[in-house]
Amino acid sequence: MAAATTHMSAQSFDEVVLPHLESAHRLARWLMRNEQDAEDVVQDASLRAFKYFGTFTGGDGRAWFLRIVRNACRSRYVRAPSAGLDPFDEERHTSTQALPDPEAQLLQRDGASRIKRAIADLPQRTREILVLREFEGLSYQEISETLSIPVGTVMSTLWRARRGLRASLTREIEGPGGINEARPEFNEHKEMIDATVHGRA
Amino acid sequence: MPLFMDVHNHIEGLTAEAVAEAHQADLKTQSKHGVKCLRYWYNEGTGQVFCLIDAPNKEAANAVHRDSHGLVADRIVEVVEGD
Repeated sequence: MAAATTHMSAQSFDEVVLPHLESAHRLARWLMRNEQDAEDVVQDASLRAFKYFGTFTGGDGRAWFLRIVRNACRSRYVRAPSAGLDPFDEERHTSTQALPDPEAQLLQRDGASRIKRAIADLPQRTREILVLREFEGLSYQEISETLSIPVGTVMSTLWRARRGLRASLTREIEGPGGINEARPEFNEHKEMIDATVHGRA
Repeated sequence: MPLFMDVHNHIEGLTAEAVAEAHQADLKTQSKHGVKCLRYWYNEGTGQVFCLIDAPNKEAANAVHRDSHGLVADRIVEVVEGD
């Protein structure tokens, strides 16, 4: 409490950290791939943020807090290396946005699941950069500050991640037992891949 | 529309892939700002990037970078293509 209340900044802990708890949960879920571990990590990160709030020098509170979350995930990996290896739970990460057409809804769910499985299979560093960019909307500079890596490394990692994802998803939907290019749903999957893999816009 | 050349003085860790990523992000958002990101040049050694943008004004040319990835240029000048 003392650290948070004696902070010289005009911003309070509540103003800096609490608005970003949802982002923190999303990042932790992607990194830990386990709901319980993600909750534990966010709780741990919140306590750390509170304890060390005096070190926050202002600026982007989200990048600061997500850096703490990311470090808390890493600490947990060290303590329990299997934590990040649990099977990916599609239900947890699947969008619940309703579609008017049940067939289209099934199709979208299938496509979204493929994409999310592919993201979950990425190496941890690549996955966290992609998640921070595409799901949390951080700028290159914010990701660079969050992960303490050069901004150019953020950019080139994203480029390789998108190309890798696109290649693996395209292989999956075109491959044996996958979706035939002549069928209409092929194009719908391609559009979904393009939207997800090729940037936020 | 006028042409603008912008200059990013130094992007740490710049590579061909890095600048391609940023350019793709620009292409995704350019229509929202009524601009066209035409070409770019870069120097991996110095981390400099030069972008040629067809835009109604300087502000729009800047806005596309700000919106698409946040890396705004250090300088931007209006230019005319020679014969």
